[in-house]
Amino acid sequence: MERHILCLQIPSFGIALAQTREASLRKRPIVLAPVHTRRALVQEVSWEAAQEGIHSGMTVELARRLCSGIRVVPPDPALVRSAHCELQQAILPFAPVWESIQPGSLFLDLTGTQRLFGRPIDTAARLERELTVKWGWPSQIGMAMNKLVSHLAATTLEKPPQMRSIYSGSERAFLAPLPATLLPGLNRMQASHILRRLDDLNLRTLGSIADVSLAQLEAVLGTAAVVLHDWAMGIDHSPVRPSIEQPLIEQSLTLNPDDIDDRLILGRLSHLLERICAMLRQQRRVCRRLSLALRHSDQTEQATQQTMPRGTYWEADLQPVLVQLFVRCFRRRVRVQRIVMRADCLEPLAEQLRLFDEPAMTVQPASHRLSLVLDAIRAKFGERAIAWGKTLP
Amino acid sequence: MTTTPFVHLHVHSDYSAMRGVSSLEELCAATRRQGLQTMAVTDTNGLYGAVRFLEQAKQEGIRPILGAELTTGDHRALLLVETPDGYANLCRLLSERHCDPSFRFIEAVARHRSGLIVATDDAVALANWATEDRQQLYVELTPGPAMQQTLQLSRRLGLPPVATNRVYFVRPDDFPTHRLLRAIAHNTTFSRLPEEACCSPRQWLISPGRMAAELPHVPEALENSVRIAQSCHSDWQFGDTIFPAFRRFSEDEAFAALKEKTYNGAQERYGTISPDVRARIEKELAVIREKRFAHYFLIVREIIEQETLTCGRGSVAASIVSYCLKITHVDPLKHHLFFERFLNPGRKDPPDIDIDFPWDTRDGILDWVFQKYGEHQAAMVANQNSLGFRAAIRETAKVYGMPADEIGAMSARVCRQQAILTAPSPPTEQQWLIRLTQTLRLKAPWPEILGQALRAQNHFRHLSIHCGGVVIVPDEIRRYAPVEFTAKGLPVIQWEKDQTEEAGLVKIDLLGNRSLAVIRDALEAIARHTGRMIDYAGWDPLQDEATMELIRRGDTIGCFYVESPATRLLLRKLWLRMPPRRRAVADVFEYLVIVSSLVRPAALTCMHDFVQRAHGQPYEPLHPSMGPILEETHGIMVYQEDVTKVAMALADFSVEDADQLRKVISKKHKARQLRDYHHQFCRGAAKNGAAPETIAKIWTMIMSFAGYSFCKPHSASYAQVSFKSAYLRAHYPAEFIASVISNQGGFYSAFAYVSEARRMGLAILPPDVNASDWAYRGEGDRVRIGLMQVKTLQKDLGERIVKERTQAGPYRSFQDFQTRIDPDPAQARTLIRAGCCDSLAGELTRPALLWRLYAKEQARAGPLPVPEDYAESCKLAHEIESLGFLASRHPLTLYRDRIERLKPVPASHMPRYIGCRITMVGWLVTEKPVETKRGQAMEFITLEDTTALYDATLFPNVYRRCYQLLAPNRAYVVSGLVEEAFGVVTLTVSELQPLDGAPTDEPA
Repeated sequence: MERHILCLQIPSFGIALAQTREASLRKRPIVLAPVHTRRALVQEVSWEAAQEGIHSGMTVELARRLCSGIRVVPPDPALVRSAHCELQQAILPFAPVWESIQPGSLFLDLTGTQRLFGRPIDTAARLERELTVKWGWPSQIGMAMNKLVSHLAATTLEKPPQMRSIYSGSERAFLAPLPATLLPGLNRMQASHILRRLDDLNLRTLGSIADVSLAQLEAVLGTAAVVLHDWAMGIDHSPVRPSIEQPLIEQSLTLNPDDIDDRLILGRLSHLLERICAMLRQQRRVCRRLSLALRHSDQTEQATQQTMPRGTYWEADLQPVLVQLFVRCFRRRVRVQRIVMRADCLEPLAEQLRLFDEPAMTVQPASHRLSLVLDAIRAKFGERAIAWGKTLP
Repeated sequence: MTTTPFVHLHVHSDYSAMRGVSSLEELCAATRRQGLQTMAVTDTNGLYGAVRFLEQAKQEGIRPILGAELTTGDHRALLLVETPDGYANLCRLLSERHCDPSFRFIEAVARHRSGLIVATDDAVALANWATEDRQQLYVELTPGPAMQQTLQLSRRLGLPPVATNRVYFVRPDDFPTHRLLRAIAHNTTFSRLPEEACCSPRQWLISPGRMAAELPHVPEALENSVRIAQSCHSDWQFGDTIFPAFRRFSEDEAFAALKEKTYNGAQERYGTISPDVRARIEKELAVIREKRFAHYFLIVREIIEQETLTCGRGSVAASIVSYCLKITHVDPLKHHLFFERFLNPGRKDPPDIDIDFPWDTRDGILDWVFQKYGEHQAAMVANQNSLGFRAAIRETAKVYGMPADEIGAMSARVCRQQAILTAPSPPTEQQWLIRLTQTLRLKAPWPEILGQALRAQNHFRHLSIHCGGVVIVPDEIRRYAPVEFTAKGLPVIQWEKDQTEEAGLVKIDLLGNRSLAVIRDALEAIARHTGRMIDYAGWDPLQDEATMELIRRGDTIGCFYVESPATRLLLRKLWLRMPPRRRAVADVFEYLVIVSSLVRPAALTCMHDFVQRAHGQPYEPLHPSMGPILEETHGIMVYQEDVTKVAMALADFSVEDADQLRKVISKKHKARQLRDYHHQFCRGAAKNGAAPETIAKIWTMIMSFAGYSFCKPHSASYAQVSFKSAYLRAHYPAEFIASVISNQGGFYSAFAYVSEARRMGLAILPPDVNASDWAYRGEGDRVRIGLMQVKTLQKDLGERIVKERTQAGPYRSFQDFQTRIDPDPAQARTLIRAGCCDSLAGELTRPALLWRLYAKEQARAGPLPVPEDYAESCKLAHEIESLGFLASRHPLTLYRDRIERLKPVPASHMPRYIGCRITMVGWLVTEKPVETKRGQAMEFITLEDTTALYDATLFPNVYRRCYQLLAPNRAYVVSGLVEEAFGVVTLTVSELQPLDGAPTDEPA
């Protein structure tokens, strides 16, 4: 069966989200970059900024020199994460299988959907329209027989919203003039030696790579030559792999004002932990992994996580883990603005029920009993009815 | 007057790095207020402020006791100096503590206890020391939770207690500053600062009465503090000059040797020794003998003998003895340099001799000195780095966890307001803070941060190394000052140059100078290419007409000290329009000496007057008495000695006072002394009939020497090196410019020098494995770029390539090159991309060479393709990437189409457009940002097009608009007005745009 792979990209997703939230950011040069240092690198650029010669990877300082009126928006990973979830919800009615590439980018496998949704190209057009009108996210869509070509078809579009479909058999002609640097992964650090070598050998386009025999290419690139040669010819058999979502419980808190006092922040974290543990107990689930993310005043985020050998929902078990996470996560001497704690790898409580109605033989530890009593008090009198002194601001 | 018997014997000043809060001034004043006459300063592991303490104590009338708190991880003890020998022992102990990684505290103190009074609460140490000698050993009793235990220890060991409060600050409210300093030192926040890292809040300079109230049950501890204080040595005679000793010679032997070497040198320098020369030598020798300076001269002479090219700089160039010993190369008689500037019978402090060596041999010279005298006798002088205001804000804000961008923005805003604090009538800290909070609308926690930063500023932080100061003593350096080791492994004393000098230690500055290496390399190349050998020491190009003409034209790029745009402009202004009558008699060298002293920030306003007067415009001196003494410099104070002369002539200063005034104006810690001199100057000048406004004007001129200024001998010595550089540029341009670029680090970039070489008519040849040396090579009318210019190419490989080629002949092919050199593939790639292997390629392109290189690396055989060569633009990009600039052509040629549409005026045609508004293009070569009198930023820039260099000025209104567009190595279109002064044209810019972004539809 002929495959129909669609690559959906919302270019500069972080910027698109910021522009959706704040109208004053629209139609003006914006870059997404950490704001804690002038040496920070630009992560994303708006179309208007790109017209000024700014591109990602450039220092913010240089970007400001090139365009004095540029606005720098700090990255907001939490917002991007939730928006990506919303994007996945938005494409749900259009594709049975999809794969996340990165926030704001997805592969959709529309193979075999023609009788259900109509021609894939029409589906893509409907999807693009819905994203633009309903969500305000202008997208670029590439369609082809495989992931590589559809990805390149989308990437080489100039300004969203746009679409490009590469028909079966025309892949090589489409790829020939494209620069080798567009191949996915080749710009990464691990593959930089291949890119450098291609540049040295004056093999700058996919066409020039495809023209060289595999043996000659292997003589200078080794084993990487096989994949590279296939890609240059437009051959890619990799399937669209759907991602699997895991349930989790998340609690967060914004400090006002930002703070750097260890005891105060740990107190607040303990409060969040209590809430997570209470929810776990309520749901009769245990967690095997605890994650902590701290967002500093300069908008940079540090995250760390720890997996435990056994699942638990007791504060007494998780508190030492929390302290360790805090020490690992809070290494910078910069105030903390927001804290996010997450419990995942959730499992149902594996409890041996008693067969007969007989009194329990073992007494629960005091800390567990205390947690249960606190749960009961809060359930009856409200969450603020009782609190540990250390968790108070 | 207090009646309680107590003396503070354990006091830390702000010289206890990032621990002590209060300055020596505050401590001495507070002690005085408490009615005490004695105080000890005992900084942590050092005597960093000892000399300054003695001076401060003297001013406050306090009897000073020197000491230190010696600490290691496990032990601590208070060491007070009882005798001068004890001082030497303390220095030895502190030196061992810093230099010996296996320092054993208890054994070391036991070994060096003689002459020291030891007090500690360290039970193990006390028990050990008590078994050997119980004399002058005390148990240190400090109020606090551990006091009772310490008292029991004292009774158990039978050792007398002594009361101290281990003071770290004067007032109790200084404790937060102490915590802040500790947090900065630990790179942490307040909440993470370990308790043991700080002292207790009660460790302030409490009054004797309160101290007695804290220790009502041990009155003997208080009495012991007085007893110890009385027995400590306090009559310190720092300042007696400690001369190094030459080969264990006696004074007479050293003097005889010096006299003999001087007369031998004079014979060599002058041929026949005239009566004038003899008289000057005898006069100098007499002073040298009286001041016991013979050893010093002989040692310096021995050091300079290790290198053929040296340049004595500073006041030493005024000495004919130095000239005869070849320490300096300027004839002081011929150029009217007065020996008194260097050494005079009334001068109390030791003058130092500064010597420049070629930059690449300076470290070798230092090694030789340490080999010769050993760490036992020699050490480097330190720099004492303290927390400046900006750094204090930054570090304090970090402790409070503020983000970096906010810190940067805030410190920039606040530093502009900080000037208020240094104004003649500054507000109090509190007033300043309130005003600042209102003006800048500061929000919490910034007011608190700034308040803390203000208190933390100027605290001693750490030692670093002085750029070249070496101290050599006759016996053991660790007797005189504690010694530490730098990261480079050199011993360094704990004092900076001022305290070193005040302690009587004689400093020799051994400095690196790139231009001496330039001259050395050029002379070697000339000898190699032409066979002409030039003896540097005896070489006198001062009357060479071509050289003089070159200097008059300001054609001095590459020439030592006179290549900056400001100096070249001044030279051109001075000479271009000088009336022929004056020009005929004006001495180029003498004017060069003046020019090299005049080009300094504080003298910028005088340049115009100077040029006008040099051209013959009459002038009135500010005061008649100044007329004769400043005649040589047309009534303008140019040299440091002008300060001395003016103070003597106008305000009746004695020679010693006037010389001291000259020295004091550039010292940090002499504000009070300077105030006294100011009053003396005003009184003296008024007595001689000077009007108050004239006095104020002259005093301002005197104070302008506080920053960057020179004495005439120094300028003359440097001007001679400038002259020698200019001679080489005039007669051997290829060899000269090749040496300039090879030695790097000149005023301009390598690209600018290459462009200059092209303008000088030299052909620039690309780097080539079959033709290049490691360094640039100039011969005839060609300069070959050296392999050193190829970025990332390792020096040993480059030298191996040259050596193999020299020994076994040129490389015949790329394969031959690979076989003979076997370079690392990454290095071979660098060479290929830089075009160094083009001459070996034959039919092959650069990508084909690389294909063969990689195939060999992968050990693959078989036929390999010959891909197309890189596009021309790609080759140019590789050239820039490999060499750092475009050497094959001028970068402006890349913009030919755009430039043709703009129709700019070429730089060489600028003089035709005086008074006109024109458009030019240029490649930015140098920038010099300055501030106007009103504090507005502006900039002088130098650009070049393919025809010439030209200077342009961006005044504040234009600079504000364009500053963010300015970046080195970029092409610009500039429009503006051509202005002329003294025959020199410059462009006053009204519009500036990058050439790649400029609209091209407007004709010039």
